[in-house]
Amino acid sequence: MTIKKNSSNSPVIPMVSVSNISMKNNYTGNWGYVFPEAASRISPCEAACPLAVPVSSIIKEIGSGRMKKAAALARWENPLPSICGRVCPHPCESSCSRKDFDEAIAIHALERISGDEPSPGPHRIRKAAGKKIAVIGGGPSGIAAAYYLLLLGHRVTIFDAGRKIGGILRYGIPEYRLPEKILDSSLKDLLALKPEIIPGQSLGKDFTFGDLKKYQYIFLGTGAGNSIKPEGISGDNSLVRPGKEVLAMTGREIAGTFGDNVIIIGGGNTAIDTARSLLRAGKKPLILYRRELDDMPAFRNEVEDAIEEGVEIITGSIAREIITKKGKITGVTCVRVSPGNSGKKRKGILSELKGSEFSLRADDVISAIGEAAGIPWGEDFIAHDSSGIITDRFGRTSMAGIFAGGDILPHPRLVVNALASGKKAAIFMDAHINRLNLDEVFDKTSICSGGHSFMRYLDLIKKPADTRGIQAQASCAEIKINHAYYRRGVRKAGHKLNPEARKTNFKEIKSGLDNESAVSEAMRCFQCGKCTLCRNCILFCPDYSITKQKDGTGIVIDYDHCKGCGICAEECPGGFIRMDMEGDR
Amino acid sequence: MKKVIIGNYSASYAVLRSRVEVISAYPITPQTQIVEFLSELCGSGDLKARFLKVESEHSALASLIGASSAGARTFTATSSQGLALMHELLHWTSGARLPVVMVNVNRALAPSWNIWADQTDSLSQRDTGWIQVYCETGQEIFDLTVMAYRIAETVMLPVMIAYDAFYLSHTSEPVDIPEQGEVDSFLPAYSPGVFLDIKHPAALGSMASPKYFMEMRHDQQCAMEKVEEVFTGSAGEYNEIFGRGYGIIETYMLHDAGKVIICASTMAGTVRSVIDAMRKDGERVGLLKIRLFRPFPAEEIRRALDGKKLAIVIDRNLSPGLGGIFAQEVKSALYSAPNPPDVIGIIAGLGGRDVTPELIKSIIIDSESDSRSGKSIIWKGLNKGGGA
Repeated sequence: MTIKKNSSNSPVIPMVSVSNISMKNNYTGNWGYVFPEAASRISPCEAACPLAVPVSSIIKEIGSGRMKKAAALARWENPLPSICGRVCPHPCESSCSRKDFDEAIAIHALERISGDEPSPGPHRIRKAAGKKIAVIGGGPSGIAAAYYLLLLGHRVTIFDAGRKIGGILRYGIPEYRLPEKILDSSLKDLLALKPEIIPGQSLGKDFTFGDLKKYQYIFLGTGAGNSIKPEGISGDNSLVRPGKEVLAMTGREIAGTFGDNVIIIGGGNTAIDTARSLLRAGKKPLILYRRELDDMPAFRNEVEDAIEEGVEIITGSIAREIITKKGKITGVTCVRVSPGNSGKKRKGILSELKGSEFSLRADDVISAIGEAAGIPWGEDFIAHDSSGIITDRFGRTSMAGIFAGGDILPHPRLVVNALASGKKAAIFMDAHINRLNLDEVFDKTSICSGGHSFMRYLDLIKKPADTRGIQAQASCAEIKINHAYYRRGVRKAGHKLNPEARKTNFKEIKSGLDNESAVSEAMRCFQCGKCTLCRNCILFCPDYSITKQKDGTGIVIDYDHCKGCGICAEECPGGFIRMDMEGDR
Repeated sequence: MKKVIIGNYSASYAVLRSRVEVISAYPITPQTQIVEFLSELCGSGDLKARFLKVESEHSALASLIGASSAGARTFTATSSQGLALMHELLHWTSGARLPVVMVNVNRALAPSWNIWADQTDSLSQRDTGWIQVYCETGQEIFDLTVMAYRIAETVMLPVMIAYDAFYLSHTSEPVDIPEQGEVDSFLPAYSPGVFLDIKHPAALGSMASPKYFMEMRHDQQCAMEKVEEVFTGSAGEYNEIFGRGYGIIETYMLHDAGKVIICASTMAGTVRSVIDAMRKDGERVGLLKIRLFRPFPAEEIRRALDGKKLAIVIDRNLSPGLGGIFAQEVKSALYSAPNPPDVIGIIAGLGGRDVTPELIKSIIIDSESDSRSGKSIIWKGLNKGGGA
């Protein structure tokens, strides 16, 4: 306040009360009964990620143009962000809060760019002097298990059936979706940790459990390599080949192996991948699926892409007989089927429609109706059922010291789930080795009853690492976004080659984002449940009870003077501040 | 420059010419056009003011309290329910001695919903410490709004400019809008004696114990007591520059009148025409129009009514349980008069009902018998079966 004295037109000085002492001795905070809680919350994307990737933190780094930090952060919970950015169906995007506003953030594209950015290299947590552990299977689950066990200082030997590790990533996902050079560069961090790798070794064929006596622990991640053969088809069934055989081949190999007209039986991702690979090798693939297009278990966008490229799909029909001539397939007799009026679309029992038989010309028939967990070591050695190996919630099998993960478990057959189960097994194997209370580790590492966080595990075992702590304090409380503070924007997710340009070769279909687009896409992120230091609460608080933290990383609420009006929670754009009952503050 | 404009735009032009710096308002019929036009003037850059959109009238005045405390010239406009919602802050504005100027377009208070003329809204705020001025013409709205800033900033009290809904707010009349330079010569920039300054932090209006409180109210009353003199002085200067003079009251044919009609605002025009007609028939009737309602010009009224036989107060308002508010104030003013007239209080025209020349004539004709009846409230123009 200023008082003007003796100014030219000497204004009237009215008698008013003025205070220039602090009001802080008036503890108005004790008037309230609800109080704001300012705490980081797990964003919906993070809660949805089976791998517990700190999505919002990575996006924040990208949005700030700190691509190197994003690259480092992206690798703490996911050893293969480049790959997940390409092949994961991204449950995170389905739960993105932005979905209700304009469009979900293109998290896959941001994950991809953070993964394609060169890795700063793995951060060893302990020196390599731990237990000797055998990882059987070098697919995604084995890679994750080996990677985290190596970080934790254990000595790991990977046994893999293939020429090179990678498993389904190398031999099951076609080049146009996941280029092999991306896989190879993604494996650099793992290889830098120097695991012993023994290729060309298949459990049950080339070695047995008996040969693994020198290993104190075993991780079993042999995948679901056994293609299921279609039943009820007469004729020479043995000529039907599994889809995974196509997927393991190069384009040239496919061209030289199969005839022109190839019928693929099935409707899952293997069927679609197989058909599209055949198409690229110059063949005429035709998918024969027993139910309707909408019922296909394959990823929706992959089905659409396949149709765009010219893959023919016949739905509502099954193969009844393989027609052969001189030991070679010449065609397939089919019949139309219908679930009738059972009302159950995907589950209804199909019955053949009389008189609807038709024949298709074919030089080859491929079965892609699913893969079963391969259990090549004898029926009763480890507990399992028809859907796979049985494990407890820590990833332990019925055999002491043997953990399992990946597609030999009955979880969804996604790369992300395989990686998550490998990471989880590594965490609990290490916890077991260190005699920790596994239940406590389970509770403290799980992110909103979803994936398990390696960073939280590091917090728990008090092993310092510079990017830890990001999720340590976060809660799973519901998040309310105040849409009034955001502008609608356009999702940037990279481009796809047009069908003509892509159907004749194995070039990667989808391009990534350039840095500029990635920054702008990242800046659309609400940062649900995180403080972005927007200062709204500081501005709106009528009691001046919110200030910036001294270190500039967040806000501090002065509960001695906050009366609990709730304006800060209302005006907090991203749901970082939330009103709570007294006593909870 | 003369323009044919509605009363509401006349208020907007006055705000433009007064170089107001902060405007905050919430729309309500019949006030809306005032602030609509002001927002356009702000948008076009003709008026360099901050226009605050707020969520209620309470916030409108609250934000002006802040702006005025920081030394800005401020304006708001409202009506009826909006004014009622401001009630708490009306007291604050005057107690904090902030020279805010507000237009209140007089409209009936609900229920029942009614958007038409009725002065109960502003008159019922008589004890909130605001200077209140009632206008009769579009020109008066312009002139008194400009004068209001001069008066407010001299005595450090807020001013409410009141005029009737639709009869004035929405009626077009020729209004002289003086050039900016002329207005500037009458109204200098606001230069407060006390204002908030972030270089010297302090809180205004803080706690004052019984030891201090009363003196502030005394100072406020002293300021009110200076208003008549300041008003008259400002009006004199205004007259010199613009050739239009305004008194705190206005009289018509009063010198020889036996009966005097007392009213405010637009009704006065109708009363004048009735007086002209009745004087042709030999009835000596006069008019006393009250322009300044707070502070109440008791002395001027006593002087004007000295020796008159009968004062007929027509109130387009009602304080239920007592009667018309102007009538109460006039009666109260005359208590200490040596030779006061009889006073009758007429309630007419509530909720925008027309007060026609015929009705005014009948009021005058009936006034002697009404005076003898001893009734404290006389209702005129009620529908049959409507009580009384």
